[in-house]
Amino acid sequence: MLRVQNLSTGYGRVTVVRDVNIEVEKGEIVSIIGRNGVGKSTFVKCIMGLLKTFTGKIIFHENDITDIDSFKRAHFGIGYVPQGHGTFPRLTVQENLMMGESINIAEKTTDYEVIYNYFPRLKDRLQQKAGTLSGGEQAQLAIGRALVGHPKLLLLDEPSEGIQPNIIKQISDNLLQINKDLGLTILFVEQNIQFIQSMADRCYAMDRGGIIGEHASDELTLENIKHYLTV
Amino acid sequence: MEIFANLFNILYQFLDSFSFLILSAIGLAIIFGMMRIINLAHGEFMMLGAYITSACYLAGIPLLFAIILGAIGVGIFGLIIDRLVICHLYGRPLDSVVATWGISLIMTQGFLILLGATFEGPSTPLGSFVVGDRNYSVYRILLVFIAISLLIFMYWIFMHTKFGLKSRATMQNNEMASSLGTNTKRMNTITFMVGSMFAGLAGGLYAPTMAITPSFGSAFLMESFITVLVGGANPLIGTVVSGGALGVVNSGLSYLYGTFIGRVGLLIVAILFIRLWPFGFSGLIEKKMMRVK
Ligand SMILES: Nc1ncnc2c1ncn2[C@@H]1O[C@H](COP(=O)(O)OP(=O)(O)OP(=O)(O)O)[C@@H](O)[C@H]1O
Ligand SMILES: [Mg+2]
Repeated sequence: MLRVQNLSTGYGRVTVVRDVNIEVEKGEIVSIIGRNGVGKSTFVKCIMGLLKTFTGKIIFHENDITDIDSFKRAHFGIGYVPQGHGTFPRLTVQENLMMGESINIAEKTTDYEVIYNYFPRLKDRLQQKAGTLSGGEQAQLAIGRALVGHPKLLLLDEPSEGIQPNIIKQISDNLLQINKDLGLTILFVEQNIQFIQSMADRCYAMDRGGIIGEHASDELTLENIKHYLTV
Repeated sequence: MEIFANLFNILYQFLDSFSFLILSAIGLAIIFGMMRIINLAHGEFMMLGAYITSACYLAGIPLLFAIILGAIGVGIFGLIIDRLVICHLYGRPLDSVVATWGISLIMTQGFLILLGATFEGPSTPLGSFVVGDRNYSVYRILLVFIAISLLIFMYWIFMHTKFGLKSRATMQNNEMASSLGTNTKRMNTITFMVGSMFAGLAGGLYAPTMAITPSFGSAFLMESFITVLVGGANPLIGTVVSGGALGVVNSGLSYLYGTFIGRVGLLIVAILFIRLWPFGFSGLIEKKMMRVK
């Protein structure tokens, strides 16, 4: 479903991510792990089209999307939840969700009840400004908003950051359920060990802008993960 | 009776000042609020609207339609300017200041060379009426209603349409709006066009009240920029509140000490805001609103 070949990207003229190759199959949940500042967010932003690809290729559903604008990638079916959740703080919860309708196919076929089913807290807070939500609620709003656009692939950048453990558990359970119900493919960046272990079918480890390891879920032992996450 | 006439005079001056501030600022506020671009050619866009309106009126088109054509014409002009110049400067506020300043110079000088120092404009329609011992223009009262209607119209566009939602979202987080499928470049182009249309409309509306010259825009320059500055980035809340507050300052001081002091008062308010609340009224109000709940 997603094939990234020899990708390099960065900011301005500074290359941050070098020669990355990854593949994600339909229905898979794949994780990218690594220490702070190794280039995980940079890589995900590049897949979303928010950063220019310096060299290499991004293939999504057999389409070469390397050079197309980010809003078109969204229409192709890539959903994105950035680090820090990226909600629109001065829009209400409802307006935030409605922004997900900007994607063609979502305009007519959005059943919000499905989303409230996964994240019931959102329904109670529709008229509240997103900036006044708690971290956990913002994460749920950002995921719910991405689902409005019926993505085929969901990119999540550290969804658990700054959220208390029981809510993290709830969010990862929900994501697993969504993956099962809708066949949604998920590529997520994480540093939270429980989250990684409970979600990932497979995992890439990143260091200094490159991929330094790949593991199936049964190899994702505490030691293995810690090896990549600690300095 | 004396008191009533005086009160009416004060009210009239306030409303006149309020509508002048609102109409001259609205286009500038939309473009600044949504795109963070300071259009230094704003006054010249108004001037262009006044010229188109006057030319259409001279050609025999009724004033109302001439004004509408002025707005549409400047909207199209804005679209062209955006495609040629502004779209290359998104996210570069300083460069856009220089570029729009250049555009304003070219427009002023161009009109001077092509059409000379003055141009025949429509005369003020609708006549006048008397309260106490003073004459008041009906047309200026009409402008008050038009200013208020435009504010309501703008509120509707930004708060109740899909375009409005997308543009508010784009303003708050461009990358996120884009990641959710909104073509933010096109949003910017449309926003610039709509802002230009409002400028052209204001120019057309004031065409019957002023001399039509290439420096027409300079009459609005100070008021429009001060209104936006004091209002802050949110074109809805900012323009209304700052138009109201500045209207009180301007009309009050003008009533007591004459128009010169009235304008000095506006400048002093602007300086106070730069020092104390650089994000203007909308910055203050939004901070308040986020704290509630
Ligand atoms: N906007 C930017 N401009 C220039 N350099 C940047 C920018 N954003 C990030 N970087 C640099 O790119 C490198 C990778 O940053 P990135 O945010 O991708 O790391 P990360 O792996 O996501 O880290 P974290 O776990 O802290 O989120 C860092 O050295 C960072 O300083
Ligand atoms: Mg990151």
